[in-house]
Amino acid sequence: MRHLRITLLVLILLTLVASFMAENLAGLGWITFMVILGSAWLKFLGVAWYFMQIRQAHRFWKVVVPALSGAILAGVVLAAH
Amino acid sequence: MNNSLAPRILYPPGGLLIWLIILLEVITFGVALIAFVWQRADHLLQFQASRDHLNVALGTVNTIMLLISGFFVAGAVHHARQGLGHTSRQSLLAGIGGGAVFVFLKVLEYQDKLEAGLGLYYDRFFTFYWLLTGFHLVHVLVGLAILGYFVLVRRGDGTPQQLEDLEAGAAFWHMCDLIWLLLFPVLYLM
Repeated sequence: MRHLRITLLVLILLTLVASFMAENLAGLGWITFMVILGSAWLKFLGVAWYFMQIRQAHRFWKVVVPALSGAILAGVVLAAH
Repeated sequence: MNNSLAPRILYPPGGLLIWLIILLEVITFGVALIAFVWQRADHLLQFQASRDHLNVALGTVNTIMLLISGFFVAGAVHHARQGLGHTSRQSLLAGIGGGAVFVFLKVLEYQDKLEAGLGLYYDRFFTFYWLLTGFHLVHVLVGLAILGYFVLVRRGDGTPQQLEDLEAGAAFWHMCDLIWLLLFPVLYLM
């Protein structure tokens, strides 16, 4: 359970950082944008790895989950241009 | 039921079927989000003005509530694996509670938007907002029903099949989390 608690704390922290930057540091432009999306990707992986136990799954799933989420967020970055 | 001779690739946590569903759902919402951002790039001022109508603080609280709920659901699976049926059920109840708070806050948010006249056809931004968050909410409600089923009906005989079913139900709930973790930053923060 300890690893779940640590994961939750990190996820909450990443959420607060992203929200803070969006509301207060929007003037940083692309830096804020990439921090927000980077935080989203890390949270996605955190939930998948520790809440959904992908860390114990076959290597295939350990590749597909980050690749898929990364591809979606890369698509968001490209579409934003 | 797991076949020890079958490749492990076919047995991700919760089972192959639920993970195929998860991947399809994430891809679907992902494509919709990319379409949203593409439209946003073409109508930047309109999207920025509409985005200012969203309550980032409320969205942040909602995100945290879903994460906390996911924590408890993951804990429920952890306790079930250890044969702690009662503790597992308590964790599931806490997870359902977190999800219920999310739904409550989402309804409040919807009510606020409707009272302000920011409905589905108000502009492109809000069409995306209502469709994306609305479909996500439907998934949350289905997820709550699944978790409720495990609390009320499948009361725990501790069999491997039941554990596998619980893992599948938990995976569906975490999928709601995954989708929201993509929706929230793109809709509310960008």
